[in-house]
Amino acid sequence: MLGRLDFSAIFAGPFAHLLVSGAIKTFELTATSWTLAVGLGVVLAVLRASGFPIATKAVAAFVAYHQNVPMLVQILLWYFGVPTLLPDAAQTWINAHDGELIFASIAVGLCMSAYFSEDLRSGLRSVHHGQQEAARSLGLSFFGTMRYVTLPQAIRNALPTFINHTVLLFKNTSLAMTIGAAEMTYVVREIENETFRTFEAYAVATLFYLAVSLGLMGLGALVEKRIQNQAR
Amino acid sequence: MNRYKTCIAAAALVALVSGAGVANADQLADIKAHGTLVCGVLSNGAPFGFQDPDTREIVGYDVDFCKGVAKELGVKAELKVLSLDARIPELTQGRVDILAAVLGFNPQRAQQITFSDTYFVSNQVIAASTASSNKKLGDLAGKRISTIKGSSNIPMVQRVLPTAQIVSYDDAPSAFMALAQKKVDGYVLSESLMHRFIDKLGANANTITILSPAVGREYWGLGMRKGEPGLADAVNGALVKMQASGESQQIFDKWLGTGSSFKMKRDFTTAPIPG
Repeated sequence: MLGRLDFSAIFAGPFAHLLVSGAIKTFELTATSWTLAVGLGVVLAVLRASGFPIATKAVAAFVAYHQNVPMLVQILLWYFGVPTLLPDAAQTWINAHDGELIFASIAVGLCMSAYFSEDLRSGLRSVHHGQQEAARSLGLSFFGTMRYVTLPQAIRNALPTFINHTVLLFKNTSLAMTIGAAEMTYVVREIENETFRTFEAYAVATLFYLAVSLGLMGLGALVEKRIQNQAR
Repeated sequence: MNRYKTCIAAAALVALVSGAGVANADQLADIKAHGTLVCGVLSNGAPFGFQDPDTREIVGYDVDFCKGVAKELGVKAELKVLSLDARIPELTQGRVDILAAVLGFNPQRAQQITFSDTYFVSNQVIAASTASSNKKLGDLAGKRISTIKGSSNIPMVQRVLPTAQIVSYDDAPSAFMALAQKKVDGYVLSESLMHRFIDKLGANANTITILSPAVGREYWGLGMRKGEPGLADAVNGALVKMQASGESQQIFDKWLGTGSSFKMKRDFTTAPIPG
């Protein structure tokens, strides 16, 4: 049974090059959307913690939309829907600068920023209110309190779910294949179509995603260990 | 005693199973005996096989060929609607006698089923935005061309335009949308489907133009089970007669030519599939 498997066909000729380019595109997508998601996630969490009614409501609405609409729909909306609202010059510019990567990064980034902001919110809530009051009474501003007292502890507490969502973000970049971004899943499906080596092709993709996901989790565990609250 | 019964039952079973293969040794004789030719057709592939909104009947180019062949064989055509994905298994498992279901020839399929002579040749063409500088096929060298994932025209494009970058989408409407929104420079599809998409643009239909020459040709045949030379000969004979009598041309004109919105020209004749 295993003797019938032929992995050499998957790595033969142009396919090896294709697999490498697919892996690179997956990493590019992960990096750009992760940066957007984390940056925006922190801003959203701080806005929500600020207590301004309008800001809190707006962030809650943003989170509700992005957590309750399938990511695939969000990607299709950004790629096929949003450009129709843009001026022609902007459309032309985006199309000339890898529009698939841009729109997929925005869609995945915005969606995951909702999750990251919620992670951070639960982290913030886990820091005792007394610490904030103490910091304010010592003369720190709201942002000073956030920066030096609350956020560092909140990030530590939020780290486990934060790492889970980073892995989720990495895996979800595979949805970008529907809009023609030539990332790993897209490339593997193409190779499968040309070689009919279905099991081998998807086995390569499975191993790739598994290895990177486990790597990310290992990296997360390392960071967690280094910055974990010491027992005082 | 019980053991003897088991033996007899087993022997009977063996006889039944081995006999089943012999019963339909000649499918053509079976078809003539029943007086019906069961055709597998599609119901969502206009203009080849689709439901007429007025009469609720399945009609189309493929359906007319099925009926034409049945008439030449002297039997009645019985239509059976199949799904695109399941059409070849339905044929090989014997649920239909013949497939008239937008079946393009390729060597992988030819290993599973027998193809009749061509009854349709589908030109694969590339369309581009009318306002762009792409006026003929060669202008698209090095440009981005959208396709449907796994489509048979991808190798054709790679052969004709080796430097072009292929961007494949999940389905035909997405790939067409990518061209309409200028995310890609060209879109490769069969000529008949391309006409349908361009027609759907309505007043904007002139913003997309089909470039010449075609990228490649896909030969369509009626599909039959392997190992039925009698049926294959009879079907090919029927197709040749339909060609000679002008019936093939009439069917083409009705669904794809002058009588239709496609206004296509029949640039092929019924002949064995090259390949």
